[in-house]
Amino acid sequence: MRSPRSFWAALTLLLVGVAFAALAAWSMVARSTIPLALDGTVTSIELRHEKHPGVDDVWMVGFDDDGPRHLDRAVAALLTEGDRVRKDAWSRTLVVDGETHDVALSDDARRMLVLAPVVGGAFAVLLVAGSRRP
Amino acid sequence: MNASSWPRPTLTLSLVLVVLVGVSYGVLFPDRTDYLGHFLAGAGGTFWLLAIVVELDRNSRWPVVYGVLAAVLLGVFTEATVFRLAEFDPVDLANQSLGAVFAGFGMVDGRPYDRSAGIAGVAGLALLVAGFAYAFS
Repeated sequence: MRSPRSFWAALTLLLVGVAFAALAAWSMVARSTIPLALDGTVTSIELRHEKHPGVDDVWMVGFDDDGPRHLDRAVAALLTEGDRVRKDAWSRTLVVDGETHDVALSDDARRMLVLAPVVGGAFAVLLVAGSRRP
Repeated sequence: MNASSWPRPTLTLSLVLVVLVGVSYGVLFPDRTDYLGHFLAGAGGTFWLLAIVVELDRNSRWPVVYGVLAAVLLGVFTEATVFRLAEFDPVDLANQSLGAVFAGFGMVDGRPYDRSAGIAGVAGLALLVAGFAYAFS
């Protein structure tokens, strides 16, 4: 037997949880540039350090048509200030000053694409358990 | 022991899943212990908050959801201020919020008389300490 009030509360939690699992996966995938459409000139490349320099470094790349973006180190390494960059959304080819480069998901992005559905499944299990009458 | 006494299945399951997902973070991201740290700290801090919510409100279903949302917003604030190092990192926010949601599931059917608050307090403290240790180690 289920309590409708518990079910809706648990369903709300599930939706919030799935949204954040998607946010984590999307943020990591976007750093590869694969889902992004780019058409502009690189205006800045900045290396910022986090808690563990060399491990969790942040590469911020600015474009003339947009603010700085956090990109994967492998992508940032292809770029220098002044480069003209063009890329179609969901293409794995990045054109830098007329030269093509392949881009790929980082290991972290691939792993998060594994973990996010697992977490969503865990939330689904808890939804069923949490919507039962105590 | 009545039906609502410890071990309450949802809280037990939630804690077990926090540990299993935490192990998954550790296996999948061995170099990024900060991801695991944010996840555990999000769960631990929210368990603490919800321990108070459950004690204050006997009809604690939606207040638990509001408590989770408050914990998420607190995470947004801390990530944007004291823990903002290189940038406001949406991955850090997501990881700690996932932990908060697990805590919410664990407490959504908690009641003042079923010892949920005590268990959540102890587990939350352990998770919070582990979270900070992993985040800054």
